[in-house]
Amino acid sequence: MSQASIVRPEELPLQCEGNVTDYEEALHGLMVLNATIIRSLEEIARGGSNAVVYRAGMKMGHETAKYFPKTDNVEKALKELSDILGRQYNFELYKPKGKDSYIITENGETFIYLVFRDCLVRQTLRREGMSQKGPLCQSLYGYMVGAVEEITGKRGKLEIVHVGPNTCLKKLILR
Amino acid sequence: MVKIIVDKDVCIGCGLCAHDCPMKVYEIRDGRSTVVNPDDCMQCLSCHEICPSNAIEHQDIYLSRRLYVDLEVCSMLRRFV
Repeated sequence: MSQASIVRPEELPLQCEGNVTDYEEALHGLMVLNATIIRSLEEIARGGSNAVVYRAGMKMGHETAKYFPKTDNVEKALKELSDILGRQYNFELYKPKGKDSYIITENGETFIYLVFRDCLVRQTLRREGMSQKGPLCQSLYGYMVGAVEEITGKRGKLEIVHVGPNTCLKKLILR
Repeated sequence: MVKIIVDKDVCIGCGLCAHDCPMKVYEIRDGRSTVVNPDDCMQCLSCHEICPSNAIEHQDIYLSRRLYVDLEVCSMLRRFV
C-alpha cells in the first residue's frame, strides 16, 4: 500500500461531500428501502406492524426532544419542535375559524389540530404508490406523542383526521 | 389567504369535494360545487385530486416540496412525451 492512500482520522472531512445528484439518489434509495421494509412488515405482522412503527416513531420523538427545555406549555413546545424539525416534518398549529385558542376542548376532550405540510412519510408513500394512513403514518403518531411526552411530561394521542396530497390534518389529544 | 376557484362550467356537481373536505369548505348549491368557507381551507388539495372534472383551482397556497419525484425517471420520460 502506498503512503498516499493512508487516511488519518483527523483528515476525515467534517462536512458531507458530493453533489446534489448524489443526495437525490441516496434519498430515493432510502425511500424505496423504507417502503419495502414497511410493505414486508405489513405482510408478516399485519396489524402488529402499526405497533412496531409507532414504537420506532416514539423513540425518534423522545430522542429529538431530549435536549428541549422542559415546559408545561404544550403550544410553545409544539411551536419550538416545528421550528427545529423544519423540513423533515414541517407542521403548524391549526386554529379553525371561530376558535379563540389552538388548544380546543370539546366533548370532554382537549386537543390541538396540527397541519403537516412537508412530510418525509408522505414523500415515501407517494414515491412508492402506497396509500396514506398506513403503518408508516404511525411513525409520525409515535413521533409526536414521544416528543410531547418528553417536553411536557404529558401523555398524548395523535389521531389522523385527514390525509391529502399536499397536507395532512392530525389531532393531538392531550391527556 | 388561499383563493379557491371552482369552474362552474366544468363542475358536474358530483359532490366529491364537499364529501372529502374535512373543513367543510364546499357545499353543493344549484347542482354545482360552491366555496362557502375558504378561510378554513388547510390546503390539503384532496378536492383537487378527487375532482373528476378538474374543476378546482387553488391560488396562493403553500405547495409541499415534491421530493418523491424521481428526476431521472422524469428526464427519461421527457424523451418520449
